[in-house]
Amino acid sequence: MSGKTVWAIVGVLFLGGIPLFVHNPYFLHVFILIFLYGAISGAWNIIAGYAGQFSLGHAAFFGIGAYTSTLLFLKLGVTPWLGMVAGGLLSALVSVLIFYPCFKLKGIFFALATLAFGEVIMQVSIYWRGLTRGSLGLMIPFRPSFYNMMFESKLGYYYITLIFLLGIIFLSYSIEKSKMGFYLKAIKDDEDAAEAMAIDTAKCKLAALLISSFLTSVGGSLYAQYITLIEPEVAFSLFGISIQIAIMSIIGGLGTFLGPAFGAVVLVPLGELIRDLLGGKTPGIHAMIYGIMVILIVILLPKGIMRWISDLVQKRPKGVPAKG
Amino acid sequence: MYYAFPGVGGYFMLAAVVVIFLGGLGNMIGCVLGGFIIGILEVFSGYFLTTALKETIYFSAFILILLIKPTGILGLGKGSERIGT
Repeated sequence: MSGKTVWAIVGVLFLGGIPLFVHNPYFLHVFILIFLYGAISGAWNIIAGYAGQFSLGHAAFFGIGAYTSTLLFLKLGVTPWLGMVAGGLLSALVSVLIFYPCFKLKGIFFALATLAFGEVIMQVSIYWRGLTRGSLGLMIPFRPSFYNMMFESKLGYYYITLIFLLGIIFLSYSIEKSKMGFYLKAIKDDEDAAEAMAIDTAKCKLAALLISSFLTSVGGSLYAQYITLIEPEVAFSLFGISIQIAIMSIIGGLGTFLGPAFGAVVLVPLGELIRDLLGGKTPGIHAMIYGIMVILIVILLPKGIMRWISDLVQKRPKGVPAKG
Repeated sequence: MYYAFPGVGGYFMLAAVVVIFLGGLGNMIGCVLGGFIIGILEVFSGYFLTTALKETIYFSAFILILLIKPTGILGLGKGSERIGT
């Protein structure tokens, strides 16, 4: 076994063993949020970090996943385990119909078109009251069972989100090491040159998009099952989801398989801590401090936490550029 | 016309960004043109359909126009999307 495999096994055992020592439900809640945001951020990283297609519309997939599994469960009694897959397939379909034509837009134009798409989906879901109950939101009655994907203790959610996060990290790692990962990086650096090297850029970007939208949507379903109340302003939120997951990936390290998880590990507890310390005394100041901290991290660690750590571990002399 | 409160900027931010990109980055006349298109779409969709869908209408129009002309209506053509990056 190589050193990396040992580290991976130690890490997984450590994360799996945390609930043995931590019994406080609030701390477990923070862990669940870390895993969930880290996972969605990892899904976003596949299309934005590796392929360089900077999407700001991923909240649409998140919301579609949350609403599909919830509506199937409430109206037809379908188990969320299946509803989650149905939502993922619907998101993948929507992503092909809307995002795929947008691939001919470059850079910030692509980001804005996807942002506009996310806003359109949110407005439609607010307007379509017959199906989504508009801004009132959908409430899932709490009936804990494995079939309903609801659990009395936080442990069930803890392990489901942990497995989801580990799955996405493993998938990102396999993509990074595969031929497709190199193709995607080539597309990110210079799409015309990649095309000239006989890389099927359209096919590669489409594959990355399908994986990314499907996984984001599954994350949305898990979120709905955990919070049990979804409303359009939260599930399709531009700042709460689309930009938040982008910030996590950027802080953690764009285009690295562990980066988004590191970003979530830093940002989620930071947000909770600041809200706890300051939120009660001066309302609004926690958001300000949070914003300032994010700006500071980006200025101090421009390459992301993941690359900063790997630089420290490898002790590369200063001035030598990082590989890849 | 509008109330003044700390979050009021949010109403205009997205619309302003859409106007600039619709007209074409780095083109002053494009801004005016984009402003006219978004403003007219917003008011007419509010009048003929419902105000709840006005953002849906002009964001959809934004995506459609970009798909036809990827760098905006009066954009500078291929490669100009790299402006500012």
